[in-house]
Amino acid sequence: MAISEGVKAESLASVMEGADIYLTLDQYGKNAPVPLKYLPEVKKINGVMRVVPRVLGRTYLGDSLAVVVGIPAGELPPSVECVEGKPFSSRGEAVIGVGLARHFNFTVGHAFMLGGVNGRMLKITGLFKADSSIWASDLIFIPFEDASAIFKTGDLATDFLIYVRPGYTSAVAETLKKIEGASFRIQSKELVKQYFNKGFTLKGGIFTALYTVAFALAIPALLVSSGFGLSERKREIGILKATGWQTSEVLEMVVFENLIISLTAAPLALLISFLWLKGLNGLFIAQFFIAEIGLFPPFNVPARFLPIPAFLSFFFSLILTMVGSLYSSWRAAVIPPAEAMK
Amino acid sequence: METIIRTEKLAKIYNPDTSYEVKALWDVDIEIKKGHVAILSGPSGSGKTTLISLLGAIDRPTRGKAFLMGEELTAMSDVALSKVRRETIGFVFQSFNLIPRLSAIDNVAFPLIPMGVSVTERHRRGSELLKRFQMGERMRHTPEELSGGQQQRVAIARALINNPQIIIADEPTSNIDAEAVKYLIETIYALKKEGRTIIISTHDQSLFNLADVIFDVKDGRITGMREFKQ
Repeated sequence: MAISEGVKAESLASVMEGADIYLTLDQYGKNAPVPLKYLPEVKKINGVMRVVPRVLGRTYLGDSLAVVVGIPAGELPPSVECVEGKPFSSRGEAVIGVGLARHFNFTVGHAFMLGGVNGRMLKITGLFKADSSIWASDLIFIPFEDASAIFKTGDLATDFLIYVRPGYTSAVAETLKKIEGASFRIQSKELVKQYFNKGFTLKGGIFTALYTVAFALAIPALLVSSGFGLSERKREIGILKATGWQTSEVLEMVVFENLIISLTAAPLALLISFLWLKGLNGLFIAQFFIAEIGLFPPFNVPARFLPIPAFLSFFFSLILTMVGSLYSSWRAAVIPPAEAMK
Repeated sequence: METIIRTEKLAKIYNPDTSYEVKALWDVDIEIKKGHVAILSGPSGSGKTTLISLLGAIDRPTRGKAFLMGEELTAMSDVALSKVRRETIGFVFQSFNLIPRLSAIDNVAFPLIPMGVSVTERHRRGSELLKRFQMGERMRHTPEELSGGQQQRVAIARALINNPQIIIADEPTSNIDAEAVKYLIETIYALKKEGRTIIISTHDQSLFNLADVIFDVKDGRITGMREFKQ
């Protein structure tokens, strides 16, 4: 949950720093590339400050799948900050994420081939570190023309990023709808934010559902496994009863023991998950939440520890221990002590 | 002398009305006087442990009645029986039944926990009793670190922690060596002098000299009774 929350926070941060409107063509309700011929017309709309056409694609760089973003020179997003070197200024240049650079031992000045047989030789002018560690890991920014050539997009862009003056988003969107000959798909920042939220809620929901299934399976498993240790516990309860303890007092002790166990187990679970994420960088487990990052995450796995999951871990451990022990203890306590001690 | 325990047609049947039915105890009528040492004697499997469990209120009979100081044990609720065990009876089990993860002093003192006695007071009373039984040096030891005789002393100390009127001991000499038996006899004698009623199930004749009354148990029945003037 901490990884999921961390990824969500980073994604939303990226969205908030992104364009105000993402423009594509609408093809059967899905995004389709938008022709570059609309660029001048969109730029002229009242309220539009800047329009950045992008070509997005994925291709292999060595053994790593990299996300390639083709944008005009000088249009690097504000969240992308070069920690070494400078942004590209002409064709044949690139800036790459520090994660990829570290993986391939690249530094500024190195050149690499991108895009296979249709590829281009690109020279690294800068290494960047984005607000999002996921971004920084496998992203390559290259000039729009090079990306267009690598992915053979011709006179199309994957999308236009439209930056507008504050308060003009709706007006610009309305004007875009009126452009003749084009059926645009207009997605505002708020809409993208909603998509992210929905996506992460769904992901969180799936995780919670899996967690619930695991929890549901754990209860009978615990009942069975606690049954193995039940004879010893039963005998102990028999001794307590034989020395004058009442059933209610035995159960009170069991509840108290379980509270102590849960109060110990929950912080311990949080501490382990914290160490796992911060110390081991989510080794093995991060891949369940972030696609294609492998067993050993190449970047700092984002994680946020929120109070509700922490409370849930305490609550679930309490329920588990209670279910596992309360009923069996009660059963042992209500039979005559002589029988329980056998 | 006042009767402290009395039974009427007491019976314990395991798996009644099945082909595995076992009559462990049948039509037992006994009476034990206050301050007496009563011994239930008989061979293994005769029903001594079953009878002593019923007298100690840690088991329920299939039928018949048992009375403790005039109160019918067999009609009591679970809560009332717990109260009797807490306030009136101290039980020393054949296999001692100490809790393995607790130290000697905690084993002695834990019956006081539900009574709301403070930790300090529990430990004071527990250590006093352990010292009385020469176990002062072993108070922090767990049962597995103690010999059979030492475990029995801890079990006796636990039985006495609530200062009960009745001490019940099931086969107290079966798991201890000769030296410990000698010590046990001295202890029982001392407890008797304190005016407590002591009920012992045993086939060890070395304890018979302590008895005011011996009940012979065979095949779940009382087959004889011998009274002695001490």
